Amino acid sequence: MGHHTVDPSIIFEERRHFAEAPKRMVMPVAILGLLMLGVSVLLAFVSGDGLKMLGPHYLVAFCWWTSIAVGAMFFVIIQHLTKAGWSVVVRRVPEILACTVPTLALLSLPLVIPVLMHDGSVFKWADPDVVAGSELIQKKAGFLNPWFFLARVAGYFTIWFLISRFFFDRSRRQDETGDPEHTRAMQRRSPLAIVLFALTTTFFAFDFLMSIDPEWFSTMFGVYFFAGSVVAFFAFFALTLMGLQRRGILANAITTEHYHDVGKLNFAFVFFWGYIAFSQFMLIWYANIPEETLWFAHRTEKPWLAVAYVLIFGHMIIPFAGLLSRHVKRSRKAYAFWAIWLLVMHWIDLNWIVMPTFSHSGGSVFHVIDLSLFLGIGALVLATALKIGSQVALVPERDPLLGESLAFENM
Amino acid sequence: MSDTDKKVDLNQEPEEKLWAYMAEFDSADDVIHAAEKVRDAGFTKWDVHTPFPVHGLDKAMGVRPTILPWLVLAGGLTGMTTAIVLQWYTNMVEGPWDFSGYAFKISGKPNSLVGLPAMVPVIFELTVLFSALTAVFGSLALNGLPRHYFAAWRNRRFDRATSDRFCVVIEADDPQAGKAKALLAGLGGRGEVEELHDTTKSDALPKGIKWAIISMVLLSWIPFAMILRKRYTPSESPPIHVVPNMDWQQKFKPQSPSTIFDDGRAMRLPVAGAVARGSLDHVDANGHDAFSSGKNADGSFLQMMPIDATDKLMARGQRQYNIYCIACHGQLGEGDGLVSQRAFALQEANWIQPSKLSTDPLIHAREDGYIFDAITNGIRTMKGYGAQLSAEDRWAIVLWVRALQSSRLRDIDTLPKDIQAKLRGN
Amino acid sequence: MTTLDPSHASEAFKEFRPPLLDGKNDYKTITDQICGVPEWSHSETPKAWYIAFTIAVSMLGMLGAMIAWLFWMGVGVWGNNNPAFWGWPIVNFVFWVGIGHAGTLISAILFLFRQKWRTSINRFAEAMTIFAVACAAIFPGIHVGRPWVAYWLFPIPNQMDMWPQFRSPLLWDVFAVSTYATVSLLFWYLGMIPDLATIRDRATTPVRRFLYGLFAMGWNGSNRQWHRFERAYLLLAALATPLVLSVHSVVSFDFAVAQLPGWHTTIFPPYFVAGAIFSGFAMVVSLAVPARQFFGMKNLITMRHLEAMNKVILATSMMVGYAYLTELFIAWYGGNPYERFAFLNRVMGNYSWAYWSMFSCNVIFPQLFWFKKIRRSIPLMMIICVLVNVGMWFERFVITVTSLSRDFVPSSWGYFTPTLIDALTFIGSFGLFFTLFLLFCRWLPMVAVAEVKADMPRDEAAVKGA
Repeated sequence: MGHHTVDPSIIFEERRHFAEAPKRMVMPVAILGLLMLGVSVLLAFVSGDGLKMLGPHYLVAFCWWTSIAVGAMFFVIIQHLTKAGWSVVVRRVPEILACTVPTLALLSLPLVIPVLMHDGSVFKWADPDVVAGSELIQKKAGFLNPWFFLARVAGYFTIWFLISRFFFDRSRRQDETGDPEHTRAMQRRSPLAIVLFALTTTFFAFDFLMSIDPEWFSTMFGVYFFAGSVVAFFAFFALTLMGLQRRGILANAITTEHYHDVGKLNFAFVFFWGYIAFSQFMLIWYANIPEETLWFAHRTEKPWLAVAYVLIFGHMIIPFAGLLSRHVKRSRKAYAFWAIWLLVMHWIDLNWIVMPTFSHSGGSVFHVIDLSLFLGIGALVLATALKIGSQVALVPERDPLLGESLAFENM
Repeated sequence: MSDTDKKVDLNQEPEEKLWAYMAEFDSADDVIHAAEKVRDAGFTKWDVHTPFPVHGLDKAMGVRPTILPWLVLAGGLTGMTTAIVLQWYTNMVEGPWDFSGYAFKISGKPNSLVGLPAMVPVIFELTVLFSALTAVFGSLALNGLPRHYFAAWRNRRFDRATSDRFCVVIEADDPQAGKAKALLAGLGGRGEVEELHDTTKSDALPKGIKWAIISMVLLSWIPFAMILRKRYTPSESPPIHVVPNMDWQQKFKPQSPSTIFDDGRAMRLPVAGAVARGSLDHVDANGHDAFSSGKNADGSFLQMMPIDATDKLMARGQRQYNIYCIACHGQLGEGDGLVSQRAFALQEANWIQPSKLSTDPLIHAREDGYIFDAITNGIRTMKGYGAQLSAEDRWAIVLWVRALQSSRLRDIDTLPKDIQAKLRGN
Repeated sequence: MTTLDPSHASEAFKEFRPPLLDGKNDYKTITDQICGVPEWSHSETPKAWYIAFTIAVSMLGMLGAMIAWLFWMGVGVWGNNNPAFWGWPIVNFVFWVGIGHAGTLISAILFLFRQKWRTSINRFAEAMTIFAVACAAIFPGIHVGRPWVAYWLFPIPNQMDMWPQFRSPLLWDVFAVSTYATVSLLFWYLGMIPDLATIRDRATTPVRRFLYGLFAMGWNGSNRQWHRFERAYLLLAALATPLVLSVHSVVSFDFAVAQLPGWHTTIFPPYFVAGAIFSGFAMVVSLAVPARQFFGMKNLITMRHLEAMNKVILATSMMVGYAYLTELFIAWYGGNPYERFAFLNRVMGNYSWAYWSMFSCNVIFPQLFWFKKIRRSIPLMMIICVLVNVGMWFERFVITVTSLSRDFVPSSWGYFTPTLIDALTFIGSFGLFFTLFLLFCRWLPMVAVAEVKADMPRDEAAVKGA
């Protein structure tokens, strides 16, 4: 039957814009974010360890929110790369989420500036004394040095900014004219975008997450971070869509079929994450080479061993079983539960990657600072998304494939 | 071939009966509309035959979802369980029964569930294999395949149902079959409504095929039966060597001659000055090794063993004693091992009574180093075990021998109070 | 909602959703075209088929002769020697298993992603998978040294209480590859049942009706059958997708669980999978181009199909390139002197010719597919796809042989040289592959008839009139 389609003009019968209230929320949310960051600094001083202990916790929260934007960008690019039709009606949300990159770039400064000041509290290779004491880190100095690090971080955010803006601008301009040339352009540029995306995401993961243990290395690590990001993004995506629909936006246009497809991709990436995580662990565990196993050794000591088990079951086996059934993916309530579950698991995953490096002999798994930092960074990111979202329709309303997306049905 | 051409029925049997009514349609959309009408008219024994899966037809016909996914889930779980049990049994369980598993450690991978990561690939593969087999054979079984007969095949018009026609077939034993012909005629199909006929006999499996299948199944058991018979039949004739180059390998055995070397021996001595691994571990500054020789530098025996007596060492000693010493000296060191008993029973002239390690006060009085030396280098007709047992193991055996002696020769009053109390039974 | 048929949709929509097939087709022409091939008489069969078949069977005979010689003489007839105990047999094994992956990718993963263009090519890509896995299975089988006890690989209860060692990646291979072969075969066969029934119902001779009827198992195309069939097909696709990931991952474990520099790297599983899909698609294109020519399938396997496959080749080429570069980077970044040496040795050592053959064939030449003209040029795509297969063979050679011949201790270094027997056995395996493939093209429905029909516009494809 070829590709099924309906008359796309029915989209104009939908609510497609934020109401006034969310638009007015931008400033308060941003201020709340700054407040929470301030509270975190206060908490750090109160708990006695001072600013030094803030860095690792900040890194976890920062990577969590960055991974949402990274996942969103991946989704947008891949839709154009594969000329997908089903997703058109929901594509504006990830386009906006990807555009939070400039805020994230600003938020990366608290991590980058200490490196430039040779402070090794998060990235110990930035501390000249540590480097002087380690022959292995000296060998890597050509890569792990403050100025090159700054240049790379600037590079990632610039590239991400260009990619996210390109797709957002083209898509928004198409809202006005309906010119299919925009779709053509996005499809044409998507291969280049995905190549740049793959390289930047890999090295982002190397720089921010792998290099906190500068002696350790794993070729798979970029893929591992990517897989976790995409899982979290799909969960976040589904929750955002549900939130919008509860406010009456696109209430009829986005159907159970779209949730089903988002859920399928989410499910697939849960499996993919499990595959990548297991392969990385298994190869290192089996070969048992000291310089590699140390990383896992730190992460399977108390209290992190328990967290590792939480990840095996909570990030892989349980959600795999939970999302297996089509009925779950087609039920908003059930899917919302699993989406929140996966977002929590993604945080635990990042926490498990970062924190054992700094507290592998004991230490607590959760600190109240984690919550305040998460909310602080999150509020700033969401304020950005709200601001951008207030300026546009929340659906690419004149996309040539919109009709197919509206008519979409799973078999 | 014309649409209405009927197959010539060579076998005009009197049991020929009406089986179903069939209407034929050009397109998928037409047949969907037709199916909706048939469904609404309340027919139960009917189906639509199409050349490809027509989406929307399930809804139009009111077909309920198949239970296949649940079967596949069950199949997958069975596969997973099979893989876990298989790997656990074959690599982690060992016992004296037939077809026992073989518990062994290899390349540092624990042979317990701690080694689970190494089991995951096979668990995964068997889960998928069993699920896939269930999906394929389950769907075939639910579809009633393979089947050798379908009544509609007797009609030439029906042949195009797998090519480019869409056929609605209502069976004649549907409770409402009386209305079927009129309903089908009103649906706007192509041509006339066809009456499909069947004979009462035709769906039986032909006799020849039935017997062929039965006899093939029976014949297939013959090789297995023969193997089983051979397995339980004692035989005087030499075994059949399937893999001769494994049974007769080209290699030198100990003490065998060789033409390669000048001295005509296959066994070679170590290169002059070669030192065995670990043999220098206990050498002191003067080049003397009391630990491995059991002697002081002046040649006298060590009074006390140079190693801490621990429970672990004791257990090790017991284990090694029970492997190497028990055959002659007996389990309790009374010189009554099975070899010795047998030798006396045969009245072997050269057999010397093995030392009664636990009850002989002379041995009890000797230095630890003396017993160690006897184990290492042998004594009287006993051979030395220095080559088989590490020095540590030999000391462990010494410790165990001392324990055996304590159990026989030690004055109970020299024991700690609590143990005295325990032994005296209060 | 007003439902629109694409034919009434906007011009822009039509541009992004071009028809899947070329020309005017209806259900009958499609059936006649595809099911007509197995009905060809000898005189209708193109001469090229006979010529190709003769060559393929001769090569197959050579394979038989080589294997017989090997069994008679022992593995000494190969170049395998200390330190490269894994020589061509393992290289060939990984090569052929990799080729197989595209079939499952097209039939399962593209199915799940609703890529409808797959229907024209999935059947023979699946066939290719099975034949490639058959070729692959030969090599470890004859490499075990005593092939007559190859059944020891399986956990069969025996009087020796001897069991396979389940913690060995080589045993995982046994399970992965045999599961893969089984599932691929079933997937292929299940999908073919309705098409075999079509040929049965068209048959004009009793022999054909009986044979195709036997394998069609009594399919009658009822909707209740289709319902369960589709569910089973979907489930199989969902199962085959993780399976195809697992198979080449397990193959990569053969190398990656070891400590040997150049083998032990965590990117191996996804990198092997990407490489497998890459080589498999290249093989599909190299087979599809002549097949559509000789069997007159140009309207079904259109230039758009070939172009789409070339895009997949380009994408997977870059994934493979990503893995090569990550490996090089991490070898440097890891700071382990053995790893650094292993990769320097690959790039500049005595096997650098193999490394650069691999790199240029797999990463550089496929970049030409960025140009639409090249993606749509038959001769150029044939050349690039053959080069990709050459490159992928070299990839396995580089991994296997360079690392083995330069391990930790210089005293155990060596250089691997294949023998003529090695080469002829490998060439012979192509004989097996092409023999099976040519038989398949000639006697079985080469394109999935029912699946193609299901994706045709319903009103245009219906056969009205007589």
